[in-house]
Amino acid sequence: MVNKKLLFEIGVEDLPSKNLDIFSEKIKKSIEENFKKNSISFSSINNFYTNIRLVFIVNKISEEIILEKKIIKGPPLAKCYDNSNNPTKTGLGFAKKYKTELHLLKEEEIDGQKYILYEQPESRIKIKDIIPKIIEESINKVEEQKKMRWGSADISFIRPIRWILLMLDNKHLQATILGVDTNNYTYGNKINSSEKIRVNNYDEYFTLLKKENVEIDTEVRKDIIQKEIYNIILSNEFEENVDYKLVDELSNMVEYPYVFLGTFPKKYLELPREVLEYVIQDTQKYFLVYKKKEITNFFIGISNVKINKNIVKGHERVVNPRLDDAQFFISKDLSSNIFEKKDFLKRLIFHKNLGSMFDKVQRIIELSSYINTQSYADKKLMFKEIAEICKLDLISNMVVEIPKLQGYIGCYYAKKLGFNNIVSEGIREHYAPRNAEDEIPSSVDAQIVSMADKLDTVVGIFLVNEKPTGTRDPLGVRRSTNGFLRILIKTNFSINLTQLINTSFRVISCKFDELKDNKEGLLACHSFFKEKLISIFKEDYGFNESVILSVINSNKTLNTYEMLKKVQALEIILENSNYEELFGNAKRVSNILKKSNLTLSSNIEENLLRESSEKILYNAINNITDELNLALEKNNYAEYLEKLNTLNPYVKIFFDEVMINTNEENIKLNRLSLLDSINNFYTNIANISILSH
Amino acid sequence: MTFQEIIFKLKSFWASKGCVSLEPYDFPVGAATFHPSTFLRALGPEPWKAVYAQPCRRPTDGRYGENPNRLQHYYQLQVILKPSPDDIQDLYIESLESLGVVRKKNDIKFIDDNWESPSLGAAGVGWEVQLNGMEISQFTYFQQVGGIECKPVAGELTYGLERIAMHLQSVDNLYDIKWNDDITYGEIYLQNEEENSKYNFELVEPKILIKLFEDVEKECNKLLSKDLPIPAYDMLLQNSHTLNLLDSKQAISSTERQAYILRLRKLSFLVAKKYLENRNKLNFPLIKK
Repeated sequence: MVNKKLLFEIGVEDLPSKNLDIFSEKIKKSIEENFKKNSISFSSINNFYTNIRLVFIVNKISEEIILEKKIIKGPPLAKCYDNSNNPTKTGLGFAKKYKTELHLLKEEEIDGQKYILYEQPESRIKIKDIIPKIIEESINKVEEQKKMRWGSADISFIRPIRWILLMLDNKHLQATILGVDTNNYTYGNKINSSEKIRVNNYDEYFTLLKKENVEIDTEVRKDIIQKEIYNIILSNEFEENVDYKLVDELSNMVEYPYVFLGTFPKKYLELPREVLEYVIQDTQKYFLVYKKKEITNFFIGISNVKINKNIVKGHERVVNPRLDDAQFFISKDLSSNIFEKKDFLKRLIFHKNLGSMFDKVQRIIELSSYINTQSYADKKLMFKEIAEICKLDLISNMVVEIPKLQGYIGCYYAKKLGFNNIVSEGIREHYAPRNAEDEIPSSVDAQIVSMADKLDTVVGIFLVNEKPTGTRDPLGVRRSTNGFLRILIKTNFSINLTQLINTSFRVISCKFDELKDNKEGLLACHSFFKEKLISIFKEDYGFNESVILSVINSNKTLNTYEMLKKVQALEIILENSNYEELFGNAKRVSNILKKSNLTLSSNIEENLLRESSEKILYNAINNITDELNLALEKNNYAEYLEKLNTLNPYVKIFFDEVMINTNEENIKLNRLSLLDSINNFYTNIANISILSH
Repeated sequence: MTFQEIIFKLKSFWASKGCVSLEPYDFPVGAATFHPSTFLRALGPEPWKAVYAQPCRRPTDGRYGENPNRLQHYYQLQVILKPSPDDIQDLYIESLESLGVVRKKNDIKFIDDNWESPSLGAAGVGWEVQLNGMEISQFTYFQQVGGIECKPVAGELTYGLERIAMHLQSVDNLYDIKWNDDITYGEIYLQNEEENSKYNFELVEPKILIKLFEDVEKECNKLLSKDLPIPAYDMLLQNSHTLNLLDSKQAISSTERQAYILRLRKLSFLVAKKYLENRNKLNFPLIKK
C-alpha cells in the first residue's frame, strides 16, 4: 500500500483569537475519528493555525481502503416473491440496494427459514474519492463557539471561508467542501497582499509561507513574542514581571508577530493602577511594563506587519484619548462627594425581587452588625462605615463606564476625599476574594462587610428560586459562596453558620413578605453551603472525605471554625496507631445501640450497676466528664480525643466481663444507658464510629 | 487629505464598485445602521448596495467640546453590500488604500467584535477594524434584523470618519481636523458640541420626553395598523433618540431603560415584518430578471 500526505488549508476571514487552539484541536480530533470510522489508515495529523487559516496535515495516509468480502443477509425468501412467483418490492429493493439482480442472489436456510443473501466482494476505494466528503462531515460535526452565515450561500461556519487548499500526494485534489471549490493556491498575509500563491507541492507550501512572513505554528509565534519582550525588558532595564497571559491571545491575532515598544505621557501615571491596567492591558491588549513594581509610561504591543515609526506613533495615539477620557470621568466624579449621594442607590436595581442597591446596603449593615456581635463584638470597628458607602462607586461615571472597576474606584475616591485608610481599602476589599486566586480582605472590618454582602446575595438568590444551574449563575452565587466560606474559615470567626443563614433570611424576608414562606428555598440554601463547605475542606485543605462527612453529619448546626478544628484533630489521630482501639470501641458501642433500638434514659442508676467492671467504667467516665467538657469548650479536640482514648481499657473489661442481655429488663436498660453515655462522647465531635484506620 | 475629501474618496470608491450613493437620513440616528437604507434594506431577498455618510448623535458621548476624542454628534460613512461579496475584506482594504493608507506599512487588525442592537432586534458577527491600534471601522455580517433572519446576508462596513481623518492628518485633537484647506472641524462643530452637551446633560426635561415617548409610540402603532411601516420606522427612530436623551440626563434607572428598550424592540419587530410583507406584495422589485 502506498502512503501519502494530505494537506488541507481553510482560508477564512479573521478568526476569534480566544480559544482558537481548542477549536483547531476539535477539528483535528473530529477528522481523526471520522478517518478511523471509515477505515482510512494514517500515522498522525498535525494542526496549525493563524488568524486567517486553519491547516491540517495528515501523515502517511493510505491510498486505498480495502473493504473485505462479506455476506449480507436479506429478507426471507417468502417475502421476495409473491404467490405467482413474481418478484416483490421487498426483493427488488434489496437487490437494487446492492446493485445486483434478484435472481442472481443466493438462498440459504437459516433457523428453519429461507433467506436471500448478498455476497459483497472485496472492494477497494480510492481515498481521493471519499476524503472531501469525510473532511466536510468532520468539520460539520464540530460544535463551534458560534456559527455564522455570509453572502447568499446556505453554509455556516465560524467565519466566512474564502479559499480551501487541498493537496493529496502533492497533487491538487478537486472537490467542493462546505460550498467552496478547493484550489491549488493559498494566500500570504492578506494585509500585505491579496495575490494568490500557487502551491505545487507539500514542501513548497511551507517555504512559500515563510517567504511571505507567515508563521503557521502558534508555538513559534508565542516564542517570538516572549523573546522579543524579554529583549526589550533587558535593554530598557524594566522588571521581568510581565503578565504573559496576553501572549496566547495576541499570537492568534497575527500571521507573524512584530513586537514594538510604545510610550504615553507620564501625567497619566497618576490614574488609579486598575484604570491603567484596564485601558492598556484589557482593552488595547498591550503589555504593561514595570520599574520598582510601579507601572511605567511604556507599553509593548504586537503588530501584524513590520514595524515602522508610523505604526508605533499610531498605537501611542490611541492610548492617550482613552486615558484622557478616564481622567475626564474621574475629575467629574470628584467634583462632588459621591459618598453623600446614598439616595442615588435607590435607582440602581440589585435584583427585581430583592430591591435596589440601597435596600441591599441596609441589609449589609444589619448583617454586618450581627456578624460582629457573634464574633468580635468590638465597638471600635469601622465595618459600619464601610458597609454604608461600599456600593456608592456604582453611581460614579467611571464605574458606569467600566463596571469591572467597582471597588477600586470607590477606594481611590475615598482616599482622595480623605476617608480613613481602613474604610477606603474596605470599599475595595469588600469584593474580595474576587476569584479563587484572590486573597481574602485584610482588615476585620472589610471581612465582616464582605461576608455580609456575599451572604445576602446567596441567600437572596435562593429565596427568589434562582439558584445556579449548569453554567447559569448571573450574580456569581457560586463565587460568592466560596468567597464567604473562605473568609469564615480563614478568619477563625467562631460563628454558627446555620444561624447566620437564618438571620440573613429574616433580614431579607422581613422586607419582602412574599419570600417569608419559601422554606424550600431556604433549605436548598443551607444544603448548598454545606456542599460547598465539604468541597472546600476537600479541595483547599486536602482533608479525607469520610472525616469531613463524619464531622459535618454529626453536627446539627454548621460552625466552620469548630468543624475545621475537629477535622484537623481527627486527621491526626487517624494516622496514629494508639487510637486504633478507640475507633473499634466506638463502632462496637454504636452497633450494639443500633441493634437494641430502645429508647434510653440519660439517667444511669448507680444501684443497678451489678458487676464491678460496670462500676469501674461508670466511674471512669464520671472522672473525665468535666475534663472532656472543658476540652470541648476550648475547642481543643486533640485533648478531647486523647482523654477519650484513656477509657479504652475500661471499655474492654466491660465487654469482656459483662453480658448486656439479661432477663432483668431494668438491668439491661441500665447497661445500655451506660453505653449510650459513652456513645455521646464518641459522637460529640464527629460520628467516629464510621471512621477506621 | 481633508475631511471632505475622505468622504468624496470613499463614496466614489464604493460607487465604482456598484453602490448607489445616497445622502444621510433626515431623522436623528445613533448610528448609520439606523438609516432605512441599512435597517430596512437588509431585510428580505432583494439585493442592495449603497454608500452614504451619516451624521450620528450619541448624547451621552458629549464632552462639552473639551475632550479631543469624543463627540455627541459625529460622522459615519456607511457601506451596505447585500449579498456580501466574497472579496469584501479585500475591497475594504482597497478602500483604505484609496485614502492613501499603504497596507504593508500599517498594522491593520480585525478584532473579533460581534454586534448586537437590542432595540433593533438585530445581531451580527464581525470585527472592529484597528488601524495601528485605533478603531476605525466596524465590519459586520448581519445575521438578524428586526428579529428576522437575514437571507441573503448583508455585509456592513462602517467607517469612523473623524478617527480616520485624525490618522491621515496626524492630529491628536479632532477639533483640529481640516474639513477643507481653510476651515477646521472645530470651527464648524465646537459650538454645537458645547451647546448640545449642555442640553443633553443638564437641560433635558424628562417629563416632556417621557410623554413624547408615549405619544410617538402610539403614533408608531397606529401607522403599523395602517400597513405603513416606513413612517412607523421614523417614529421608532425618534423614540430611540428620545431614549438616548433620557439616558444622558440619567433620568431613568437601568431597569427602566431596559423596559424602554424592550418597547422599541417590539416596534422594530413589527416594522420589519410589515416592511417585508409590503415588499412581498410588490414582488420584491429589486430582484431583477
